[in-house]
Amino acid sequence: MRYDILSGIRVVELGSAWAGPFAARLLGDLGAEVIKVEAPRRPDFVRFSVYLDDDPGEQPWERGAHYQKFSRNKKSCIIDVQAERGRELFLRVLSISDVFIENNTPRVRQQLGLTDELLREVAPNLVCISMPGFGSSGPYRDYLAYGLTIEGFAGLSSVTGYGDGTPPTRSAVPYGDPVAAVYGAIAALSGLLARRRHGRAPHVELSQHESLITMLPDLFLRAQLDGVDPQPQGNRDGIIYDPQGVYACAGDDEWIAVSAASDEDRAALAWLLGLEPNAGASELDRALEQWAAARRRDDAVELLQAAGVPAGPVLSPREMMDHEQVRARAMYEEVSHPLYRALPYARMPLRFTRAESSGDTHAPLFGEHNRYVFGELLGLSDEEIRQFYEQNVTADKPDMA
Amino acid sequence: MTYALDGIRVVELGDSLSVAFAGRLLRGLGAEVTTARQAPVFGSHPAAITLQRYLDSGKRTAPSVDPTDADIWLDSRPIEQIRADRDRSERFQDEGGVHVAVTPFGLDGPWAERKGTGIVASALGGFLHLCGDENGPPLKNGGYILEFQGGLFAVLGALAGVFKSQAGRGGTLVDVSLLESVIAFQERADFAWTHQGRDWRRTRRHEVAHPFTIFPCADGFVSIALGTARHWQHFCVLIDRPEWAEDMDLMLNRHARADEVDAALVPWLAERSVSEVVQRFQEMFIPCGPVLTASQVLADAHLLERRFFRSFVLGGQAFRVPGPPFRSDYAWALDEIEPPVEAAS
Repeated sequence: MRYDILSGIRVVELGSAWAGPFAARLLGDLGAEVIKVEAPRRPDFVRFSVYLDDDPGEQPWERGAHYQKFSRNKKSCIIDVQAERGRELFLRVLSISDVFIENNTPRVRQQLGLTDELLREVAPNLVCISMPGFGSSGPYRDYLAYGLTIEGFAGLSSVTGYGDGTPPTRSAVPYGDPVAAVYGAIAALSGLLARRRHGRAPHVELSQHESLITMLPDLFLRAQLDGVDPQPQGNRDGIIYDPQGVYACAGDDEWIAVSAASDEDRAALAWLLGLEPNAGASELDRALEQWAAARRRDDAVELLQAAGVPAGPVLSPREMMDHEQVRARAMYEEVSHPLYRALPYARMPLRFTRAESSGDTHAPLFGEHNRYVFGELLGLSDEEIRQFYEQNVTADKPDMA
Repeated sequence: MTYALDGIRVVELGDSLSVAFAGRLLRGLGAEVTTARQAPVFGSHPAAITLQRYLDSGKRTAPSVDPTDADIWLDSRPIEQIRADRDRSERFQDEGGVHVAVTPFGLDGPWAERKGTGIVASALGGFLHLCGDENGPPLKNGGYILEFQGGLFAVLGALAGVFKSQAGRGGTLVDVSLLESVIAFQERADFAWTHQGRDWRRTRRHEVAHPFTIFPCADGFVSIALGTARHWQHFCVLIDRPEWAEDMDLMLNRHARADEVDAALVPWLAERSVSEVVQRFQEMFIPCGPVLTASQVLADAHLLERRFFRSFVLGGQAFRVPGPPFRSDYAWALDEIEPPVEAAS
């Protein structure tokens, strides 16, 4: 589902992988016109990741699921920004846009010659969101960053693990990317609001590394409060949620997550387990372990929720997509595609009342909107556009050579 | 000082980490934020009280607040209270207000009235199933990142609502579900099922790439994220296996042949320090980083040079806390943090 909230706003994305493209897609989900720019010889590499039906087909760049998921509600325009004429063309696109999002390293941005000064000159009203992994200064500025490595740099990996002496564990998803992506969309929106109020479009530097650190304030407070570093402790918390854990149930590989955040929750849990209302967290935890082991997962969750205890089944991705709450709220919606069958993708997790909405548009084919951008938006002639193709400034398919 | 959200007023109702985090971010962007929270609401543990004071720093507190006297109403009360306030919410929206309701499972659907926390949303959202050892229990991340995810999306929804309202298109109710905030962060596991019929399960190794996980070194751990063919070519040279770079089968099937790769990589890492490994991998343009503890992050040279951390004083103790996620032409309003200020009633 795509809302119309940002209709009239044009966003240019010069991104790759996840953080930048996801930030831009969130703005597309909100109704902005998002133009994803790729170079003929440097298509976003996630186009070639996780092929539908494991089949790269004749046009593998159109079959990567990652690209399909994170580039819906966008348009595709191919420009070789490193070529002189391509750079001129790209700057013209920026000059008629409202937001520019990129997640390149400072080194790449420098190679492209996209300095703040130049951008302010050619597009003074452009809100610029630069999302390098480690920011544009400091010893790590040119380090390559993937979400997983950012987790380690930020401290998240050091507290994710079983706490039994086994090594730290990577997360279910590489958090560095999606956290930065949402911050990127927030920076764009707050920049547009500031531009409207103050008449000045901001240039924002958003370090993916620092973004993730802002999500972990409790770690740093505890390290200073206790004088020792927080350690992995499995699913326990012991500070806000107590007891909290994941408990094995009677069925094969069946688990439930249970979390008590208040005295009310603990009293409800004690009642269900047949303990005194003031039973301690450790006693509750031990009793819950035995109680869960004697029940099937979904039965246990029903009993816990009926008693007023926060609890849920541990679901696989397939089970999650089929869960009654996910289905009831249509969290996954099918998006049609011109080259293959319609497939479901997760909606943006925001629902707005009093806003118009329409169906999602599929991730664009490579260069699908070249003529729209060059002709309709920039007013170039067919002959000029033909020359761009001839000079390899643009293309309708990647230059795989 | 000029702030991006100058003139925006925010009121918080409800006792959730998500909304407290959202209010703090909006405050940092320059909004005026008032919260009804005063007493400790996240429990009596000193760490919980400190976290609450940090999240509420820079906000005004008031014993009773009128959420309709604001531009953004952040609301994480129990769903029955949100529903009981429907008329007030509608009137608020009529006047251009943005009501952001943050609940565990959303405002409708069969689970709407159920109780949930970050770990419960993570369980339903498929995250726990995907994190941990093959033969171990499902595992959550440390900290409260799951709750704060909901806060991030609440801010995105709030700002989109304000943009809409200021454009003359009226107010709105934004329904933010913690569960859906988790699902929105799913990267590949959902489409691995819909596109390839694979229902992924937790594993220390990455599901499709290798090496792409955490490894031990001589004095700690590193994360290695070897994603592309180019990374692989450089990696082969780095660990003194140049012949592997010519082996197309190994390059394309290195995940299936991970044991073979690890037989060379693990001893290579074991002989080297974390700092040497990170430096050598990065010199070869391969994503790699140390697994740092909280105190190591606080002392990290990169962050110190960027002057990232800020000071937060509570009870006479000065804490170093994360600074703003943005560096912008507009100022960050929490540069001089102080405990919440009680508003005049």
